[in-house]
Amino acid sequence: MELIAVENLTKNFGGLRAVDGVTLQVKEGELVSIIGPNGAGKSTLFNLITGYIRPDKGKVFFRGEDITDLPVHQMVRKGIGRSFQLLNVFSELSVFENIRMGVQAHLGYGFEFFTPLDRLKEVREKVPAIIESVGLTGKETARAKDLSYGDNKILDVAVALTADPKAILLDEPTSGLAAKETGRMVDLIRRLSERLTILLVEHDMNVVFSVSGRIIVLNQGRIIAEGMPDDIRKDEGVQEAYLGGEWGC
Amino acid sequence: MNLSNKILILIKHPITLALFLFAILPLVLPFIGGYISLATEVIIMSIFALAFNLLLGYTGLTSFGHAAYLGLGAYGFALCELHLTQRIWFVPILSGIVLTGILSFLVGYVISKKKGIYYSLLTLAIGQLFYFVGFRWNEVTGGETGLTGLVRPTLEVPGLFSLNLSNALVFYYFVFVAFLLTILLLWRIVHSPFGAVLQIIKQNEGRAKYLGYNTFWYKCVCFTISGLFSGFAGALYAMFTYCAFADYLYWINSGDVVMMTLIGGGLTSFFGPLAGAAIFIIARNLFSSFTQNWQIFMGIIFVIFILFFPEGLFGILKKQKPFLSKGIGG
Repeated sequence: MELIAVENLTKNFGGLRAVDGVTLQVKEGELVSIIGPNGAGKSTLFNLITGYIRPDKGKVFFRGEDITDLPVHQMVRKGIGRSFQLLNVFSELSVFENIRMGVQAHLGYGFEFFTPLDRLKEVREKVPAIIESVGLTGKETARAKDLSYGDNKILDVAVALTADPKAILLDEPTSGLAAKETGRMVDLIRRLSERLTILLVEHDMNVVFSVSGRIIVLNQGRIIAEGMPDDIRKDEGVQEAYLGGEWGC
Repeated sequence: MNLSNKILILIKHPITLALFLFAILPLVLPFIGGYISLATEVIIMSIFALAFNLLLGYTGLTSFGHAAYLGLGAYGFALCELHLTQRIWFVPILSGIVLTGILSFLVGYVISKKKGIYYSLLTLAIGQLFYFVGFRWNEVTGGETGLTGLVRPTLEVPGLFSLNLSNALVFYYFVFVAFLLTILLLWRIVHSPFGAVLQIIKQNEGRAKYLGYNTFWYKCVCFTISGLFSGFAGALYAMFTYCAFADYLYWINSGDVVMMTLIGGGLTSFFGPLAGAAIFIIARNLFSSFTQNWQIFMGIIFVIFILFFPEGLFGILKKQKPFLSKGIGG
């Protein structure tokens, strides 16, 4: 079954057509990567699908339902989660608090005015499992701004997981990470892909080719190729897009 | 946890200290050239500044028109006293709160989709709108002359006690109880799940939406709550001054509450606005007693704080005593 379907999505920034009539489908359980040279429109496409910006034309469907104009918070409740390319957690909060705020939203709390925060046992009890599932156990009380860059990126993904999404869109999860941290993130992506549908934008081609079930290549806002990792590697059009056959990194 | 531990925690709680200081304020103020009604003004403005700080310090929303809600509370109180009843003492106060609550909800609904400078400018414009309505609507608000001739009711339980609020000290402790109520309610609110959402909206509203929070309603309700408590302060202020003027709503007064909150350190501490209101009102009183140009000195104080102590008085204290800082943990 198609979980995410994008139809003829188009977005202009001034005179620049950042995303130009993109149509794609992601099936339940798939891990699909979107690659392309800088400025190909990957991030814009991501932002369009997750409601961060609104398209000029085209539609986004989630489980067959048109979600193009849905407010972000409703999209999240339908089951679409996302991480961010640039650090976007609550830097003043601890790891535990970051996760707790997500769990609180997911369980529908927020308009309790006089309940002490700690009184919400149901919320508190769900937090450790999520922290453990991403491997941040032991760092619960550390404030996000005191964490390493790699831990922050993992926390960013963990925060998205609190909404218990069906699909998660990861925007450059390994950018800026050292080799060891990249390895941790790849492990996490692999583990997540066992239970979630994942759409991935990623610069590191080693990561892309090792985890993806399918790859979509974007250039100048258009899809120029789509297929299994091996097919994409051999595709001449793709190699040209990446400047004379060299894979960008 | 046994009882003595509980009592110890209660004694050590910063609220206890704040209450203690405000309880003795009218007794110590005369020694530094003040008088009881100065303390009363400090405590009413503390309620106002606490209400304002729910927006500025906790949610990161800057209102430049908040005096309007103080003034509306005063009008609500006065109109009820003059036209409905002054018999049951709490009804005029309640009508000040309700009037402000309704109007601040409507304003919150209109402005909460806006961000940054647009939000602030809208609060300023709407605040001035209320001011001009108050200033021009002679039939209802008394226009330029305002609503005067208000009375402070007598609190009475027949056969038990009777408190005459026109006595300055009695009135101070009446306002003190209102302050106690405000501080307890607001403390609970900022440490509730709702308060936690406000604080992540301040840090990163975009991400808060991606957790699934409809941030619009949180901001709108926050504005309403802030309005309710501002209206409460306004009703008390009308009692305090025996009148309600359009001047109360004027935008200069909106600037004052921003100043109080920042000087005291509302951005770093729940208690910042209390210190700020005290410093502001006592300094203003001090300066204006020996120069007509007291506003210059107030301006200098404000500039010094913003340049050198942007986190306010409590920002300085916080470095010594971390428990004073706010946070949504624990």
